[in-house]
Amino acid sequence: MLNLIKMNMYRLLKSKNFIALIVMIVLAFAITKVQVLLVTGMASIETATIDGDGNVVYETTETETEEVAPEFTVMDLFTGFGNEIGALFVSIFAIVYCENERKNGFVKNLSVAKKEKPLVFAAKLAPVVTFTVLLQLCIFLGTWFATLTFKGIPFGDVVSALKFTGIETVLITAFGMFSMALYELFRKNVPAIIFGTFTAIGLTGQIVALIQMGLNKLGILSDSFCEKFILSEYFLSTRIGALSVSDLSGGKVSSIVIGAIGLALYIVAGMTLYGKKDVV
Amino acid sequence: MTNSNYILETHTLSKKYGGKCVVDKVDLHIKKGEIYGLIGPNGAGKTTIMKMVAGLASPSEGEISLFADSEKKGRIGALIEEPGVIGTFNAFDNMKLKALAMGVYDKQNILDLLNLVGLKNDNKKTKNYSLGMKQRLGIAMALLGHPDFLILDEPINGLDPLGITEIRELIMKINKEENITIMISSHILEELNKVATSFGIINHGRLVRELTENELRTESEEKIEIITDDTGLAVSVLEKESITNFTVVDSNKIHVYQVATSVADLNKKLVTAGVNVEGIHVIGSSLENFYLSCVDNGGNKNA
Repeated sequence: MLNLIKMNMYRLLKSKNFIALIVMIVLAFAITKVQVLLVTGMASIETATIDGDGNVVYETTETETEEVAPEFTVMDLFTGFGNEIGALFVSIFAIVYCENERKNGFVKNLSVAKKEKPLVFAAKLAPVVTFTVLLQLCIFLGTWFATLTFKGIPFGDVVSALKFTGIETVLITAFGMFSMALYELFRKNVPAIIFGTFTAIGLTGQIVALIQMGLNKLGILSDSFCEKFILSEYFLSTRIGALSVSDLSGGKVSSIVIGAIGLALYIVAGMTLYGKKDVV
Repeated sequence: MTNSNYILETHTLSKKYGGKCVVDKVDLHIKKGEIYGLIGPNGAGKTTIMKMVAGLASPSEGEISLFADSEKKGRIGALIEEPGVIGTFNAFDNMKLKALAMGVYDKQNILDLLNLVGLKNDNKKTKNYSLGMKQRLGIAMALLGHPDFLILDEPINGLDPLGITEIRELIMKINKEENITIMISSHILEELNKVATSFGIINHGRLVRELTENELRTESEEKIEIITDDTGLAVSVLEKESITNFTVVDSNKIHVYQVATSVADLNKKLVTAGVNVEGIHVIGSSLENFYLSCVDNGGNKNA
């Protein structure tokens, strides 16, 4: 197992995954920049005047950053960044990572005469965790760089942000393993990416919520059951999107539990699929 | 029941895909130190057998016994279909990845193996390799960890004549110098005959024949086939003429090897002695004819 982890880490670091990470920094920077401009109303104002020669002259004026005291911190912006986007990135990374191995046939090298074949799948947890952590770091860097272009935005509560990031990392890693298990089920990247994307942006959770409502209306599920258990709330994607740094105390434990169960469940599911199916 | 002489034995090995049987009750026997050539036309089931032996596919039925008598289980190296290499990595990194996964990483060993297969340790990405270079790298990767048993699936496929010669020499070299048992598949018997020491002929998923190098030579050499309903009388005539190198194939067929006399003379002697000769002709004039006679008749469920 340790050998397989070493191999996966070497492969991860040698591959060009940094492109996805750079994209994430740029994305986090752009989104944060726009977000701050919109929230503080500091968007530039373009005015048109006519000069003495009768030509139209456009002038752009920007509000001074010192004029508005922002009511948020760097950490707020970082933790408030859409983690669904992070989940989507990790999902696509996980599927592409598996697909590449199978497409070029490298998977054969890993499975020849291996009795503990399912461990080949389990060892992929290492690159998924690493990628998720690096992605969180990139989101932070992108957000932070964006805030540096404004003045007066305080850094905020680092401890709460770290706690939040830790929980999100567990949830997103579990979602990455879900995507890998999904790929092992289909053994094709297109349906796996489509289903993974739908789930990452919360569509699967919404469909389940609608089905639950329908079953409730049909009388198959009781009102008390539906009030007590909203099934979509137990979805990793729902948790990833709903967890908030300001409301950490309430959802923290349940999110960790859901993340840990999801992680274990999808690793076992992926290992079972990997072990049962022919490698090639 | 396993035999200690064999490094691989399969018993009624079968594989079905969606109800279609692609490998049908195959019993293979590969002795230690030999180069076993698995020959058959495209789609005969060679690759599927190799995948099952390498552990890349599960048999639908039957058993595979590997290293039966060994106190310590040996290693298997395999090159099945195309070499599994990551195109954006160079040869060394591909080798390193596999070595790390196996827990046998040793830089010098990788460099030695690359040298053995005639590849340079440079920064050239493997996606820019020719097919021959990829095959060499595939063999080098299969040799990582000093395997005792090497499975090579059509390693000469798509190679030019020079490449074929080089791969052939490499296979013979690693068999002799490293004492590695090799199972190699091909659909070209002439080529396989130059390296293999025993053969398995497969067609329509069934093992038609298993024979040694000598048996193949005997089978494929020129011989006279006599078809008669009185093989006993025919045998006595042959013995009277001091012809001893013959085989009674079945109740109405005799094969006569290394005959000095012509077919016409032999026919005349048999007829004169009262043998009812229904047919007499020369057969098996080449390896190709022998192979074709096997795959045309044997293992063909529709035959």
